[in-house]
Amino acid sequence: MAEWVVKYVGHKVSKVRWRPQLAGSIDPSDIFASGSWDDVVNRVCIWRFPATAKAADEEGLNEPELVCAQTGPADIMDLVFLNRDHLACALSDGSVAVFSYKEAAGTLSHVRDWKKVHGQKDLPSPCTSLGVLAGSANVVSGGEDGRLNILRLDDQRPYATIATADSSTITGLDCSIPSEVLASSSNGMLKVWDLRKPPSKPARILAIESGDYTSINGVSRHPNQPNLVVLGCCDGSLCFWDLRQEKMPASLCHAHTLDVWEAKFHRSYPDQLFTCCQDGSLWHWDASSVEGSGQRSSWLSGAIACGKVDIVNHLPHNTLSVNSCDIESRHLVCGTDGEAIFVIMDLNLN
Amino acid sequence: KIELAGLCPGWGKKKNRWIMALQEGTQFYIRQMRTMRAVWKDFGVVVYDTKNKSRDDKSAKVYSGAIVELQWESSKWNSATRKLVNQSYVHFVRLQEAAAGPNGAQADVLVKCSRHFRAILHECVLELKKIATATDGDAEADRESYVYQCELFSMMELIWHLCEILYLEVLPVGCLIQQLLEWVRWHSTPYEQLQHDIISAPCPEEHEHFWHLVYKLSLQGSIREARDVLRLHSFAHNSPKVFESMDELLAKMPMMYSSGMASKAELLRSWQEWRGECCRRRDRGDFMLVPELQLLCQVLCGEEDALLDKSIVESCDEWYELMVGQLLFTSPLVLSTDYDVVATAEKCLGVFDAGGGAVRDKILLSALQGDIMNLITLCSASISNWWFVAHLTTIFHHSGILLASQLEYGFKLSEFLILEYASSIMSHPSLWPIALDYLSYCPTQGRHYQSMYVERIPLTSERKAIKVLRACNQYQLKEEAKTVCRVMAMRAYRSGRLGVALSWSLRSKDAAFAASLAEKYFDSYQSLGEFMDLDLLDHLGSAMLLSNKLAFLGKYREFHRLYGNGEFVAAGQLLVQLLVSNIVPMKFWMTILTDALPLLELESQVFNTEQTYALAHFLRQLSPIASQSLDHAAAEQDTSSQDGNNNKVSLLWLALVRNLSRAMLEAAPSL
Repeated sequence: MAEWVVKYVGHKVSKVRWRPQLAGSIDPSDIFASGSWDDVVNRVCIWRFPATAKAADEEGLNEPELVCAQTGPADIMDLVFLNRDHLACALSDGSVAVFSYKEAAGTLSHVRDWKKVHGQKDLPSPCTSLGVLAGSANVVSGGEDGRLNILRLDDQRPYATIATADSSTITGLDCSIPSEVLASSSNGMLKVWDLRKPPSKPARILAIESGDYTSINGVSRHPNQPNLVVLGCCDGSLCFWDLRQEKMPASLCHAHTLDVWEAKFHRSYPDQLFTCCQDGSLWHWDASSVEGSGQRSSWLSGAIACGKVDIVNHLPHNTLSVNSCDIESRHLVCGTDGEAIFVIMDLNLN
Repeated sequence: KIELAGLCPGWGKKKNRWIMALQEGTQFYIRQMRTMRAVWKDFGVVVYDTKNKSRDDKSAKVYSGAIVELQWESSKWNSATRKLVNQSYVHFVRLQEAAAGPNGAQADVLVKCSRHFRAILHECVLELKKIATATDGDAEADRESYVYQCELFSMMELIWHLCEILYLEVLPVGCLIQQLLEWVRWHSTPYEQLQHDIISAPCPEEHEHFWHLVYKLSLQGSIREARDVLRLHSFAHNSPKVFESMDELLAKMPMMYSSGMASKAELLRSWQEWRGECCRRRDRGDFMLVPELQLLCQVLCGEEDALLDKSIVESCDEWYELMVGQLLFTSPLVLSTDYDVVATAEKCLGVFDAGGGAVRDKILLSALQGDIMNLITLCSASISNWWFVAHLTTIFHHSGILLASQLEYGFKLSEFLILEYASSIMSHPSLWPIALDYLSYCPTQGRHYQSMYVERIPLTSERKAIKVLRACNQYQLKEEAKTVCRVMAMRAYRSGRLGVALSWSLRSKDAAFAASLAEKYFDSYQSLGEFMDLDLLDHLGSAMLLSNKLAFLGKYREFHRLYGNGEFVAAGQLLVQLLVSNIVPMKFWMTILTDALPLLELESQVFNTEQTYALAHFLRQLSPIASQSLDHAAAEQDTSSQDGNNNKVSLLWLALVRNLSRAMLEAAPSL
């Protein structure tokens, strides 16, 4: 079992994200951002881990050190780093806010606001997810109103909007392939939007039709195989889909007992998958010992069903929901509804 | 800053008015709300004054004035108290799990748990101190409240520690005194600064507090530190014999550590030997030269007069320091149940004369007396948060020392206190999962509280609603789960988001609502001529089986798809299946049949004889209705549509007959 550190932060944590590493650097990122939700005053915080020597001396512990924070009344529903200096937040009042982090000064300042880009004028609805368009600093936002907006930093109004993108809530976005946006919805559908054509209809729609009602909570693409995506579902199942095959997912495994809030591949070691769940568990899936059968990734083969994938729960005693997790190099950070941030250190990755 | 301390409706003649108790700093006001009205909102109250209505129109609900929102205990929440709540929740759950195990909670588990709670409490105190010092000068009232909280939590830590020592620790003989000394040392004001001052003074023994420090350290059992301070005395070099003698005495003092080997008799013997030596040296006059040392020796001998001497008393900050010091030198092998403890405590309390008996002292005395009920009652009354009594009583309850004390309402004390605690954390909008979980450990009343509480949690976003739903499922609150889904579905429906509404009714398997939504989709189809939310309808899958109408909707959409793809035979088959399977509401039969018309007219045959007969059967059922409505249509203005209907009907008959003849010819065996 890997070592871990916990910090009780006094607010429920909805999202945690590592700051991107310097291009070409092997040093792991030591800054991460967290967002809070369901509070009277919510905050976006920047943390440093490992803490500076001075802070570690004072506190006597190796806990994440708070660098700076910004507050506001709306819940933070999603958080993405546009680049090393800019952070975008999806807010529950239908707005998207961008902050700029200055490392030297250690401050977080408000740069840009797109107010009420989701919902109707007098009844805004929460903006639920954000994606960064590959190769640019443009933001795609999806909300409970089923709308997709494309926002540019230098423009006050949304650059483009797909008003009827979905009939239900858009829960997750992935924009890692240029001009293609994957949007998952709470009706169990994954839509592929091609931004090169006028986007009145999605290029493709893939739907999980497993019998009972399923809602997809998040989508994440495999870093090396862009046609492979993993979907986390509300009934605890994990769905691996080869986008080239529209009819059915490649595999659907019933993993957790409650909603899988996030499922993501490690950016540098794609044989490692991390999922976090409403029941308080944080699973680390290790498929490195599975031999990929030729072209097919180890995730698409029936390895999971055969039990060849190692799974470790890093938080066996946690009971409150783990809402978000992120990993950049070796440290896995996660935030829970128990108002705690856990950092699991020095994971064994092959 | 004004806080709402209490609220209650009036009674008797003033039934419609509300009585409010407000707290501003340390002042309390009671206000009768004559013209003021109050409305519950979430977990607070909105208050407004009706006397500001416009004069002209007394009946109008026009209002001009301030609306004030009041919330309970909003000042008690800060990052330190929230950490306390969250961390102690984790340990509370572990305690309950251990207690639910086959053997119940073992003593070592209870002690460990108690230490965790104490550690969390201590962390909270430190955090509050940090926040208080970090608060800038403007927010003076805030700082005061942090300082007040800090003192309150320190007091709680003190009491908890004593209770842990007296009731939870399983100590071998002779160890109680060590634990009590530890207790005093941990909670007394730190003396490092004083020690530093004394050391750095040119003439240490001239320092006014030199001897106080020596006495204090001795009473706290910090013998080595006492010896170190004594060695600073200049006489220690000049007339070494006196000081050496005292140093030797102190060095030889037997420490009652829990070696586990020594029996009570042995420990007693070694202690009595040592005390005998002290008395010998005192009587010999070893310390006559230095009166303070003489006093110290008398203390070591356990002389009552010496122990109550003015300078000894002055060296203690608190009465319990004196008490433990006295016990150390008079009866070190004391057990917690010995009467000595209480007698000494009362004596020391009397000496300190703590101004009419502060509540804290009463509580500590109850703890020493073993009067747990009184202890809990006093704590509940004086400590303004329920955290302390709820958790302490839970540990007591699992250790079994708390006899089942039935309150008038008939449920156990610990459950009552947990309920109060859970109710108190309800006042914060974020802590509802923790409140719900605490309630789940209250077997009698918890469920009732849970069901009422969960319906009042505001559902601000879909994600939150899903989490509330999961909580309902976890605690088997089926009705409330349905309510949550219905609320979200209705909300979506009212803002025109039929897809979201449908997804919520599918989540809760609410057939009735799903059926009415399906009808709405149909109505919109009939008025718009096309379907909304095609993506949802196309991928309903087997979820459509929830309700007949929904299944019909899904299948009808499939019909359109097949038709659009040119798969006419399949489309036709589907159409007939729909009618035959009885899932089509009657009012849509006409629409279905009208859809069949182009298929009937197709060049290639779509329907066979059976299917044609089926279609005819349905049409015939419709026609008498059509003709009936013709009679009534005499008064109808909208005769044109009736004519249109009639036209359609006759067209259909024609098409059906033609198709039938075609089908019969096809089916007839070739001659």
